[in-house]
Amino acid sequence: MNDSDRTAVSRARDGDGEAFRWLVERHSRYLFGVAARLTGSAADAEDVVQEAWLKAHRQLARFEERADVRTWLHRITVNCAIDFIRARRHREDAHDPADLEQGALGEIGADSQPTPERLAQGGQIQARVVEAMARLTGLERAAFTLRHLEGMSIEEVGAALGLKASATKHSIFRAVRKMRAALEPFATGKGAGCS
Amino acid sequence: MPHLTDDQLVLHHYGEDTDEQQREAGAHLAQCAECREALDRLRHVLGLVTADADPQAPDGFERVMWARVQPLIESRRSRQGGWASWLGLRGLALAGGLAALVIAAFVAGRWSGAPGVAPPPESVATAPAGTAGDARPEGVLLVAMGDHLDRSQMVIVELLNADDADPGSLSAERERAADLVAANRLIRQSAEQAGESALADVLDDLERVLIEIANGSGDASSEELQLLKARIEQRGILFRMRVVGAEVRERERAPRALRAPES
Repeated sequence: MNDSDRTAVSRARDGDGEAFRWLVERHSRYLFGVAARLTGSAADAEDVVQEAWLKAHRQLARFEERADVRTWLHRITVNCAIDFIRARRHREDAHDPADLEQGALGEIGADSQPTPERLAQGGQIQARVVEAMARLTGLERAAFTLRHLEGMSIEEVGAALGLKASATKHSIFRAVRKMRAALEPFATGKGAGCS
Repeated sequence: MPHLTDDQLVLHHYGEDTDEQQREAGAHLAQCAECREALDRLRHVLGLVTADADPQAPDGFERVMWARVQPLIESRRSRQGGWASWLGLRGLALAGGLAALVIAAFVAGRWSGAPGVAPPPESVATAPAGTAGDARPEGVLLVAMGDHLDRSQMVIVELLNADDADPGSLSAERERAADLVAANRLIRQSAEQAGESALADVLDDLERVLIEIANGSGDASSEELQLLKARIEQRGILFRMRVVGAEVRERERAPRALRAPES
């Protein structure tokens, strides 16, 4: 499978449009997932994936033969999503995270909480994760996702998003608090924290 | 040492505390069951957040993405002089030819349609309408553009007339919509470059509609189909396309004399 990918990259680099099309059709769904969890929006994710493919096409010549194609595309998509989020930050800045935090926790923690029986199914937990992620602000989602799922250090996340270390930490802390409020009942049935 | 705060637990979980903080936290956790339990709960909760919960792309996303990416790549390659190697015959005919033609058509259209711009007398004198030397490339191009609008209109009309109870019957329209996205994008870009902002706006809206149709699932519910119809009607895209189509046909019929100078 990786060999097919590498062959396609090699052919696309030589100008084979069908090979590039094959790559686009093979990996776009995966890249959409990566972009959507960072941007929190399907429409934004589509734009990010489009930009990622254009960037990948421009960088075909730089692809390292032994590298994994999906990993390479994943990295490009994350970088495009980061660029997108940074460009969007001025809108985010106008948002008051404190309001969101209260609202999100209140809604998730009370009436909309499913019963323990319903939690038995993994699909429902995933749906709850998606719902909780959707309630994060753009910066919280990006910072948390880059730290938690992409494995970047807080310092790297801050550099990528153009945030100071303290702001990066606070974005992650707020995100984790919201995720805990939404998911902890599913995990343990107990309340959060050690004060 | 007091209990670890939630934030300290988060830093400790990710290994982002300093060496000294790590030592202190480790020592505290070794003797504090309450904090150990809090850390376990945190790890358990964060363990639920995996890439498995990633949002799913809509059906047909791969096709639509290729339809969006292909013309942009082709455009870039054409600037680099790589048309022939990149495009197959079909792509060249469909996309490359159309793009070049449309650009020329708009240039011609701007000359012909600009109020107060007198046609160069020599072009009138040397190229009388109806002669063999009158290639009228803009006329051919306008036909291509009109054809695109007609095709798009047919897809939309088919969708609007489809039976809500049988959304599965629209798979052919969805494929046609996906095919039209690439051509639409080329025409829209050409319109933008030519300063035809009104036409570009309509084409921009049309592109969104085509993408939305192409994105639809083959097993969409009748409610989804109704919603899609409502969104299309709300945009008034059909009416706007008809207005633009009429303008295109009018330009198509414009006298030969009103064409751009050749030098």
